[in-house]
Amino acid sequence: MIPALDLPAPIAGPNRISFSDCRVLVVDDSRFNREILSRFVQWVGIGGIDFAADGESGLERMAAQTYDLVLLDIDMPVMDGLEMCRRIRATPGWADLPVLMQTSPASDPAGVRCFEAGASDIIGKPINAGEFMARVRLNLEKQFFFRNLTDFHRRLQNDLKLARGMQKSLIPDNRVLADAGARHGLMIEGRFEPSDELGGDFWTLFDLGEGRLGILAADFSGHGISAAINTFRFHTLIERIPPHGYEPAEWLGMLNRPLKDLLPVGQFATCFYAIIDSREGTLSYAAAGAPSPLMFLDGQVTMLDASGLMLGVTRNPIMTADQVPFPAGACLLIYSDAVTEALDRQGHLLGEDGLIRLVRDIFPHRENRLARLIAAFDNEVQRPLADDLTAICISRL
Amino acid sequence: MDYTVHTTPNGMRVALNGRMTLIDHEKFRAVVEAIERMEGQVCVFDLSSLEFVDSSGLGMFLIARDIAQPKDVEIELAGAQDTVKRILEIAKFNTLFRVTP
Repeated sequence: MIPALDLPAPIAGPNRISFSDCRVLVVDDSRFNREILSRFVQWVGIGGIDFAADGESGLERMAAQTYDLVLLDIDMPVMDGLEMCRRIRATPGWADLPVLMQTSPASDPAGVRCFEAGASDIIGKPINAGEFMARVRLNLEKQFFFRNLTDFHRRLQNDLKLARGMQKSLIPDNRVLADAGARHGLMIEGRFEPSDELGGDFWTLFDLGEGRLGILAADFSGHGISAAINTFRFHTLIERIPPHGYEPAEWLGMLNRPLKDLLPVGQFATCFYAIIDSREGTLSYAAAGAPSPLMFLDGQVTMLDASGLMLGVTRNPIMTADQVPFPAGACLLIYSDAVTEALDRQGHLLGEDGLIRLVRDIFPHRENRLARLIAAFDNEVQRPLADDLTAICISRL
Repeated sequence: MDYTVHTTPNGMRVALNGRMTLIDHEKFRAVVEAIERMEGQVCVFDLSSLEFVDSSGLGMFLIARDIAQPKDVEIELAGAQDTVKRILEIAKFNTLFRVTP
């Protein structure tokens, strides 16, 4: 007679396993053993128990019914437990199924053969009720949490994929770039590459009329989901406060105020906004703590000062604003800090110097400047990058 | 990033070293708590051994400033090396903090 154990009642709830909903398959050729094991399994509170007397009929059972745990004896006619376990593991979908094997201390004391065959756990004979029940519960719980985590992970991946598509839709696509380029006599190339599924970078174009094109690039602090949500808020803000009719510094100042109210202390956006006037041949800009855009003209690279307090930090923004010539043949490169903060193979920052060197090498040929720059960049730096990468290259034809 | 905190005659000195990035938020919380509790009027961040700071790191300095201001504590960012110095320059942090060589 085997004494019943006092077991704490399982705590119910969505994150708790319900043993009564579990189904266990006991595969053992001894009817006596099957009955004993069945009783232990019932004491755990398992709701469904099925039996098989050998490996082959066990596999048949498994093909017809889903089990949460399988309990195997080793020595059985037709197909032994080791072979059945190997076949379970070779079946797609059963790789992580808990399989417990009863081992005999005489033939396989450490259960090495069982683990080699793919067993999740072993139970030594003679079976001790307490140990048996503890191991059954432990393996079921492990499986339960593992499934929960896998489901959660899958759901999150799907959500992030959808959100990534939404974020990409905020950024001008190639058709928009080609149209805007054709209207303004420009070649516009863009690259947008969040370091995780989502990122804190944002950029867009505005047709301001009278041959003027606005380019806005912003980078929210941090990256990942919270930074991405800020880019959506920013996009909404721009819809509400469009740039038409304002000078760059004036407009960024108008965006700063609501951002300061919106963002908690410690979150902010670096920002660069430029108006290219193709009739006047000028580029007017304002910047709030953005990486220095590079101007390429006649083989020379110059840095535009884009320093300034980031948007959302104080009520009184301190920005840099300037107007520079942007004649035919000139090219502007705007980029996020991920570019200069990338590490080369020796672990050193690429830095502004490194980027200027690449631009000087690559930009003399006008075709596909950005694509060739990124290819050269990829050749020098370690991937994956730690931050979101955005790069925009605008060439005047 | 690693840090050490020392009390000074007029406040405290926090030495930061390594790379200060998004993952250091939890660590920096302890620094902010130290500022909340500190006596004196000056909190010096010694940046001479700080190799790099990203946008999240800059955000942490802004959080420290937010805590320090109501206590009339001035935050000084001292001794930044080239890379960090350039990042502070771009962000015009000299308009918010006392930035010293």
